[in-house]
Amino acid sequence: MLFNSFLFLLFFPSICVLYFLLPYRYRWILLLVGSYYFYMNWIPVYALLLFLSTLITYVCALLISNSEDQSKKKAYLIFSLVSNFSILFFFKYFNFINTSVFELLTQFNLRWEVPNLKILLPVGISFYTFQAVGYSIDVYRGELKPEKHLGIYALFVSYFPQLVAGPIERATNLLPQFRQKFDFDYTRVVQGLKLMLWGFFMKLVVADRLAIYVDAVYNNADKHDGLSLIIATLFFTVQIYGDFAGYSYISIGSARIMGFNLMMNFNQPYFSKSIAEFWSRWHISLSTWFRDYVYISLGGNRVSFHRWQLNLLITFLVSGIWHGANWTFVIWGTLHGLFLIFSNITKKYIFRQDYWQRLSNNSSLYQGFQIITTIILVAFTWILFRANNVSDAFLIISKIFTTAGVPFLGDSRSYMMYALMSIVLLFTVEYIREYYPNLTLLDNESVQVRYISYTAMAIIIMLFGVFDGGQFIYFQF
Amino acid sequence: MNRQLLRFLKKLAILGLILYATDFTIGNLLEYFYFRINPSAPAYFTTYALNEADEDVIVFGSSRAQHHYDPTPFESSLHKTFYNTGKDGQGILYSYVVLKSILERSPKPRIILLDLNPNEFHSTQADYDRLTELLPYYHTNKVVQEIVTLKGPFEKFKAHSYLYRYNSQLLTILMHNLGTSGDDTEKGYEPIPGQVWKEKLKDFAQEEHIDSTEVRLFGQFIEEAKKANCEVYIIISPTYRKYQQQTRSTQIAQAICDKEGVFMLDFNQDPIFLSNRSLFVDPTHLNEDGATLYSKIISAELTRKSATVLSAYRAQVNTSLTSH
Repeated sequence: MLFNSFLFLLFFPSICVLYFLLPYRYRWILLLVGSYYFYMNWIPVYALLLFLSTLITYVCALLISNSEDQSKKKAYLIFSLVSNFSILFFFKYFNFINTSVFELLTQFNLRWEVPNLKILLPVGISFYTFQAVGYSIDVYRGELKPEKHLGIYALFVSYFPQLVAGPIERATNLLPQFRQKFDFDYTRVVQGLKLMLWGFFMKLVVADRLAIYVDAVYNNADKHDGLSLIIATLFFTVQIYGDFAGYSYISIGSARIMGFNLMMNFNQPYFSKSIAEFWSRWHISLSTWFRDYVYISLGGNRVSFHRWQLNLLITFLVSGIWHGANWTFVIWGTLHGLFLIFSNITKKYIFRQDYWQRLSNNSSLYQGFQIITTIILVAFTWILFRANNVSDAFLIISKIFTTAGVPFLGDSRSYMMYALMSIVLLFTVEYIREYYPNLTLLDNESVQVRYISYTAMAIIIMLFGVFDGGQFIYFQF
Repeated sequence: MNRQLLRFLKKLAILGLILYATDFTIGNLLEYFYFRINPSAPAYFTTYALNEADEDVIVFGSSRAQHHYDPTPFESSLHKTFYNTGKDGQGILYSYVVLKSILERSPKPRIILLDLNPNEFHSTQADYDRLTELLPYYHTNKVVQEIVTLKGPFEKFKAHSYLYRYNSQLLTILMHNLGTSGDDTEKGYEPIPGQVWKEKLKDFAQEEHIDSTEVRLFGQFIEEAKKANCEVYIIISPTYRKYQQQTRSTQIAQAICDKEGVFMLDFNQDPIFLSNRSLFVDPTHLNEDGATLYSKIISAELTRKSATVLSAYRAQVNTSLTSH
């Protein structure tokens, strides 16, 4: 079920009404059934995979906890990780590896063909697998006691607001909340609704509007020239933010209405002054997951300088692979890793003086330069993220640098105006949040201002939203 | 009841009222100005087609109809008035709505030309989504209501919102009420001058998933037109693509035409056009030169066929008079 579908507008209020009507002890049943129903709206049979992943991590966590022997604990953890990642590998990466191996062997005149699997990727498999695996590791590390109630644990893995595209929650944060008693709380409910409203704006008004242009250009890259490709790349830079952050806001808002606090996933990422800062503001739940379970496991930065850089590169390479079974994602992740390494090297060997730090702290012009440079680098990597394949990505990059051409302006005269208007609106709000956090409209002290803001936002969504935009980009991961 | 819940419900009701009033007021304002946009605006063509078109010869179809049927040759050879209701991005769903709306009025057209795409019945959700263009007519046109609800099960609920009906129309309404000129058209026909397709002829094979709703509406289109005593011609205009075999959509359309006794003219692989890419702007659209040539060919063909139909009709009338 999509958040931007009419069905969700019926489903969610019904769940909320029942949730607050039911006695506390039965609420987990409602949420669990609701979550599986939500998931089964795509391909019902894939709910079995969700359940399998739940069952494996549940049993393994209990075994890890009950075992005294460290080697046995490790064996259970390895079993949990291997079985979960095997499912993920089979459904997400088999065809990619198979095709890559076939193409590699063909280079050496060897022909070893295994037919590709004709299966659809289970929605959200990377998200719930990581959440469940994170739980296993937490129990193994002793940071968390295992959940004995299978129903509650199953709800942790499948909780519908964050099931298919995150935020990837930590068991330490979310699991205990399923045992808390939440009454209807006016302030919390209104907060949640505001977050959802903003999320719908980002998705329907910004992301889906820009997607029309991006799809038209990127799916016919060979027919477009440099200027159109630059516009499409910049639009995609905003689209992916609107799409994914929009989803996250709706997710966090809907959970908050019911009383649950999910972690914030975005924090004005396009105001970052470096790639390192960008990753502390973008898809925070995934970045911190990789930090806690991959980067730190590799030794983090408490190793030699060279090893530290290697750890960074490995972490971003894995992050790229996590995003998708395509070489474009591998290169995308690697590029981000290389940017960070480059930054570390320059900091260590070139810009060691405090002068640069002082300049960064005091000069708004220099800060602006840093922000724009970061956006350009991030936008450049989005080319790989969005391109349909590596050859398309290189074609787009080469065209951007070699041909200007006449820019394509969309199918209708008004399209570009709607697109630009949505970008200006989004970044005005982002700018205010970044630099004037106390200046808010939806949370304004004046009731009149608040009501005018709600109404204006609703009108903007109804008048300028794209209601046939389809699913969220991150569902494919 | 929980006091916080009561407070919430009270405020929600107030907000609901404000939203309803705003939706009603702004929606009605938009409606007022939408139906006053200048006649060169693309949206005006839909209004004209649905509410006013009463010409003798009317063309229906997609962008291929809109860009391929030049009124001049038709008017001079058939000596009848002409209008082109073809619309960018639309297909049989839109054509059906326009036909039914026209047939509910008098006088009815005498000749109906429906331009089909070679892959007409191979449709996706996007084809249904484009029906959004008809939402401004939702509350006044029953056929629009019937067809727009095919978009999805919840469309009829969404269409209750006045604002939703004018989604993405604000700038169009503003621009075309403030005198911005629209498309350069003549009786619905929009030529594409000065552009020439430069790529070589390529094979085209598309896997076709046939949409049964579109097939059904195509059949109904012909039935309705025949019921209104119109001469109906189904035409597939030229493409600059090499098809190795007839598409399934064409086969289905041909079978329905044969059953209904309707002429189907297939110019899809016509050698005059296949050998001359300078008549196209892209593989599926003729440029102005191509459209002029094509319209001359079609109008001549129609004059012949129309004469045959007329003489057959006269013979039938004479026989019936003699027998009486």
